[in-house]
Amino acid sequence: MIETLFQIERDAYKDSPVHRLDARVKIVIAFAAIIALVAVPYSPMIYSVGALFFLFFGLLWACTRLSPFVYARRALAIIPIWGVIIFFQIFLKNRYYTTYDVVMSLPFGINIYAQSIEFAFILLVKFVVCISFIILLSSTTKIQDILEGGARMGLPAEFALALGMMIRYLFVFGYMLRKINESLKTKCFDAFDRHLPYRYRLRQLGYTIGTMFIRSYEQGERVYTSMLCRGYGRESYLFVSRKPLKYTEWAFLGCSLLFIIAVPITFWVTATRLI
Amino acid sequence: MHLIETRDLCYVYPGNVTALDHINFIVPRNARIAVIGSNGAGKSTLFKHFNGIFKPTSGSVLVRGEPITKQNQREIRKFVGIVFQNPDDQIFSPTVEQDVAFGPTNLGLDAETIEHRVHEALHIVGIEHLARRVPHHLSGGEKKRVAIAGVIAMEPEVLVLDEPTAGLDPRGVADLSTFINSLSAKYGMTVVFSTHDVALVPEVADYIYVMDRGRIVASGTTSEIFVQPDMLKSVRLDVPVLPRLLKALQDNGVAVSMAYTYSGAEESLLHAFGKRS
Repeated sequence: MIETLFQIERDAYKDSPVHRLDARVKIVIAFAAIIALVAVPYSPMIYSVGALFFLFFGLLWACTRLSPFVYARRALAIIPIWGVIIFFQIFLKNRYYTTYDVVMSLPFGINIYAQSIEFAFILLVKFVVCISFIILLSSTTKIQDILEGGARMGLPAEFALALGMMIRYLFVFGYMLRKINESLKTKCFDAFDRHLPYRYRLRQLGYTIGTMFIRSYEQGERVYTSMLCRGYGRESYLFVSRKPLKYTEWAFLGCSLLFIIAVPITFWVTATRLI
Repeated sequence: MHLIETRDLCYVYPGNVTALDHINFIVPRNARIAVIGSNGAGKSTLFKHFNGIFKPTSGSVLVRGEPITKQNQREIRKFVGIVFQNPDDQIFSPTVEQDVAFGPTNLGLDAETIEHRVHEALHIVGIEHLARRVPHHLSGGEKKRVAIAGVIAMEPEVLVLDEPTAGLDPRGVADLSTFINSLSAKYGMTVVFSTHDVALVPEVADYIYVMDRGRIVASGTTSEIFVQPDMLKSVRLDVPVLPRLLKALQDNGVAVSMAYTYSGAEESLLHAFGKRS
């Protein structure tokens, strides 16, 4: 898990036109795409809008020079979270349809409905495209740049400072966990080694987790002391220097937003005219 | 009036563990003071009293002749900057630049001044090129410099360094000693530091305090402290290699004069072997 964090960071440090874009541009595009998709009504027109958005995402991803496998791996990693939610939709009725046709009846009165399947597919499209833009943002933007971008766009100072520290210590503890793992390996401990008694393995893992907790507590104490030494108080905030967007970035942002807004509106207007 | 002075300072940790026992410590202006002692001697605990992080159990701490109160605490933390042993405790912002800016930001300075101070502090410690880097991509020595820059950016008059050589390679130690000397000589800063590395002390300190189990067992100049090998051994320390070697040569009839720094010892040996008049 922690290695995934380091891998995401390595990808974010690569160089491409998308990587070089200011974080604010990427944040705005990602969130605009998500908002636009969420705003599209639950109807089959989402397939066309979703396809165009995914094409746009695909173009951007191609410019990142990152492998499509990187994207696929990250999207699949989130399946346990969103896949289950989507899958269960096929058994449930929802407020977007008035009539339901049973496709299959299962024991215990459970039914699969045609409309629910359609709804699940619509949800799937929304999820996939939204997650794709988030993956694009996280794979091409350094975490600290996302934070700086957020701060420049008005993220409250308290959040920015707390998030900044979280980012910093996420990696400190990542390295700490890595060292603990290396130390366990040098002592030939493997949590999945069936030759070792189950309770012993569990106890050792418990010690490891306990050590991490104690260390994080101690680290917190020391960090707070050093913050006080540097004048930390209620008014403290994360310093972010000014950085105006370049003309090319403004142009790219403008074109992207135009596309993101125009596509769903065009489809929606066409669909309402047809009705 | 001394910059920092402690009078009969005592500090007892919860659990009735006496960490400091009647400490009388003086920091004059533009001095370079070394506090040496083994682990657990109380060096770090003493330092945390210098800017009001710890409150004395008894005795007093005076900064510029005034006791530390809640009212002047902020001003004192600006005046006395402390660099802790582990830079990971002190670098808590996502980038080097933001971390160095943390102190000046807390002083309520405007953006332009903050940027100027960050630039200056990074320049002083020689890491301007690392401004945009993230701390976890830095080496131990670089992190140490970032931690120092973060404190220097607050423009303190007294810089307190807790075990500054811990975890540094020989080149890092050499750079640090040059840096400490330049702080004093070039910027008129007063430097107090703790270390186990007795070899470093003659190179960078004018005055030495020796601590053991919460007490100051000796204090004096380099030549006064390093002529007491028995005292140093009793507190689990030792005389640096160079004066020890020169003393051994003297004891064996070689006419060398005592020296404590590398350049002093070089001069002394060259003179003794007739290579210099």
